[in-house]
Amino acid sequence: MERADDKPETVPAVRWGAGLQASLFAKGRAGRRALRLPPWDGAPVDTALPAAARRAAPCDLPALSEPEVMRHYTQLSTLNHNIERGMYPLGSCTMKFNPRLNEEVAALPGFAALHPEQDDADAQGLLEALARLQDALCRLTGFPACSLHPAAGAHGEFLGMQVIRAFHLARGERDRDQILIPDSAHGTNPASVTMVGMRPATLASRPNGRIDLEALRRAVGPRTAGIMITNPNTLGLFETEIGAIARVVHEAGGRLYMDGANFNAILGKARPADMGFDVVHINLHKTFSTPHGGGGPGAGPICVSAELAPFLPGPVITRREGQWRLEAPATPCTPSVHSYFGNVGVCLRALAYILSNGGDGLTRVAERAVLNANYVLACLKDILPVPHAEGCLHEFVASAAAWKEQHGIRALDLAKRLLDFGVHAPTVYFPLIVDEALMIEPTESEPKESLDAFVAAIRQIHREARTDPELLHNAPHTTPVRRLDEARAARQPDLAHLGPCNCG
Amino acid sequence: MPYTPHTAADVAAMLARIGAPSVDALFASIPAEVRLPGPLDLPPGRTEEEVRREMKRLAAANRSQEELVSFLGGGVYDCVIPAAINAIAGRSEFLTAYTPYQAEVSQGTLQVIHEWQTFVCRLTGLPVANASMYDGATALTEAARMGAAQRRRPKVAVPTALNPRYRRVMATTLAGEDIALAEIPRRADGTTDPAALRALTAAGDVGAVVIQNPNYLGLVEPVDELAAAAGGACVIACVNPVSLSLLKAPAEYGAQIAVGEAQPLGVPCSFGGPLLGLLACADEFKRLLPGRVVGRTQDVDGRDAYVLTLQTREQHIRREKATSNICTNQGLMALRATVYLALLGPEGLVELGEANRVRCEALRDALRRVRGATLPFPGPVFNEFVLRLPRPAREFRVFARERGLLAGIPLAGFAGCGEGDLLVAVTEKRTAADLEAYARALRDFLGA
Repeated sequence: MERADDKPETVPAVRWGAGLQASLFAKGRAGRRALRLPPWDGAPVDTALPAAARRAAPCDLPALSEPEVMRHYTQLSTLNHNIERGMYPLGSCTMKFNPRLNEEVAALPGFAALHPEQDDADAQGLLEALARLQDALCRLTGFPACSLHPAAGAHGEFLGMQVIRAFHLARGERDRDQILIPDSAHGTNPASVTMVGMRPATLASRPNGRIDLEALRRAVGPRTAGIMITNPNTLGLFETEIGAIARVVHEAGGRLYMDGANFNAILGKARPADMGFDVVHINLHKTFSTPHGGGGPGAGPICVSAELAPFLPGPVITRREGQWRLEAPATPCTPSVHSYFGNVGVCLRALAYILSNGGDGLTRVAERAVLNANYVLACLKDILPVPHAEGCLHEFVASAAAWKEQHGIRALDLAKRLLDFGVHAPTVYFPLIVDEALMIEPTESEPKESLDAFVAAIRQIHREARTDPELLHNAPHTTPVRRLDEARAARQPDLAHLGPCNCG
Repeated sequence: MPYTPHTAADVAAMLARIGAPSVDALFASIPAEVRLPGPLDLPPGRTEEEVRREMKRLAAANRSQEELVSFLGGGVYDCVIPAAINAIAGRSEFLTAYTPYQAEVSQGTLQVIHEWQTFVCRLTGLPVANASMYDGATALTEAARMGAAQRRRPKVAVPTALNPRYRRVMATTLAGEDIALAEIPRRADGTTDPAALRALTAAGDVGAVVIQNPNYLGLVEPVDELAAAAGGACVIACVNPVSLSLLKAPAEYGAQIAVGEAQPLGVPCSFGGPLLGLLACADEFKRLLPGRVVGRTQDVDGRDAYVLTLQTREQHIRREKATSNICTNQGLMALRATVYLALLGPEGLVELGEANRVRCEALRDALRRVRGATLPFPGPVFNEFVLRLPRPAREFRVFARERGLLAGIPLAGFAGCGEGDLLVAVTEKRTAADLEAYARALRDFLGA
């Protein structure tokens, strides 16, 4: 019974998604437990850690039951956009469907419970699987050798730069330390070059968005170690003069690195080796459908030409007398970029994807990705101009400059308003060479209906820009939280929840 | 084709809208000289069931720790994985989301990363942590770079008994930045020598000192003495986070950066990848921290909310001036470890640490009594130790494997170890019967 002097507590009804972000670290209650481990069933052990080795105070963590933990993370999950919730046209990220079969097979205990220090004899099936993935990637790229070690695309860039550097050093060309990079490149390219002790030099693009061959001729010289080219580039355009570019760089003594972030567009249509490249990295978490996991794990294998193959990291997979083996590479001092063999679990998912699609299916992937992008471009170009539309492949970069000029609506406003329609925003403000850039990549797994809905949403937003610009400036309106105070986050960094737990 | 939804009518309608005569015409910008002339040299696509069958065949051709009793460690351990982790990490909402750039529709992932940062801070005692690194080796490498850069000194001191795989990755990466590695020798008891470190740092050119605790020989290091001998260099602690349930936290001995391999927190071994690198630091290193960092802030309505922050450090802004190129990291693995720590809580974490330590000591005790076998390093350990045999350890590994045991990692050539030395790990998964089987195998091998 409620006592007369008790004020009844008011419990307001809540909007979907509201109030779900209560901190885990405020939820604990002393004495609660979830998991218990099997007790030690042997004779008692009487040794203790010396006091000097022990931590002074036990780690203060929230004490929770398993149902609370499940509810906490399930509730948090509902605050995320994801591929199965709606379209994810994030340019250059290739947010395609992630088949569940691939999750199932990578989790098979025969793969997932293998320890990397087991003998080759215990890992015959795994080594065969990895060898088959290497072989498939070589067939897709036209190169004779592959390393699965890099754990992400940027990690692949880093290894590729190491390989080019090691190649030049082995030929006594210590002074070849300059890598040319077009201005449309992703920021990881120059960062990767710097990390291996080389120097990036920027190449301006031509008005049509492609590399300026004349500028390239002027830029190469005895210090040229190579060039990094994203092909198709970040505008979604194929480097039509790639043959001539390769000749210029090779004649100058440099090597060509292809950033394969956009490989999805050309699967089965063109191979990096045939274009004159010497190295390519491939993002398995883009082109080969492995899940992004909210920021990884990815995998960024590289494929290389025969002259660069000796510089790939060890161990390498070989087959002798019917047995798969992991062996040290023949060349001493090859680079090492990962504790073991890279993100093996991601590689297995990619292999399953390649087997499911086959050569015919992978070619179809590129065709449908390019069809989808060109369809959306065709439907939107009257209201969202695409400065570099000619020959666009799997993605295109539209400009909202006119919206900004006429209605004060920026690319960011358009992107944020899209969230209200259950669609993820495109990549904005990249590449830097397009004003108010919106980089749109629908991917091949989107049906026409969802492309039409996306187009309809942007058309409606275009009308809103004229009639109700404030609606856009304040968007999004229907998401679990609205625009964030990013300046405050940077000015007063609150990076961890460090108060005491279990005080409630 | 399995994952493309277009009907022939869709394709025709879309081409009409584009104004292109065929799909092939859309590829006209690829010059003929580089076009693939024929179809890809790969087999045709297969049905889901056929691929499942093939992948199962490949999985069945392996003999994993599921079938064999594992005493393998060296940085990756056969650990308990609670069911709740797979259930959460398998949710589309976490699995298929991208890096949380659009904070308004990514609060789930962002809050999880903030929780992971918090757990790493609580375990290490340091105030700042990032969203994750590829693995322990790359985390340590980035830490060394941070330390040398912040102190503006060109050398990094690493112990002889540092994980050799980590050392290889460091050597590759730091060579590009003209950072030299100097070696701190170990003492006869297997621990790193503080006096030698003091001599090394006296010249004032060492920017960072690495302490791996426990070290690769499984031994708890004299962390206070080592940290005191660092001579103004940044102290980097390289740890197994599970050991921090019991062992001194890096901040407690003055480490300014902590790194480690968090695979034992709910991540499958998966032949060594994907793993989970952790990285935490003192406030003074915050602006040098590589990778993603999530901060708590508010939205325009005053609601608590999370967002990627301090991004001006990152390569998409700094380009060639960035200190690191890491973008995609190990987000889903960090989610797994976060859920595991939430399940463990304060008591469960200590229980997990003790479960490792007690089993390890029990096996050490049992093997000490096997005639012919010795334990060369008597100091305290957490879940791993060196067993010395009068015959090559590789032979014992083969012998034990025939009995379904993965006996350990041969150490020949590492840090002064000989042919007879074997690194043996014992985790919370091992039972008294497993340990007895190990001791019996060793007795039989040595004819004791």
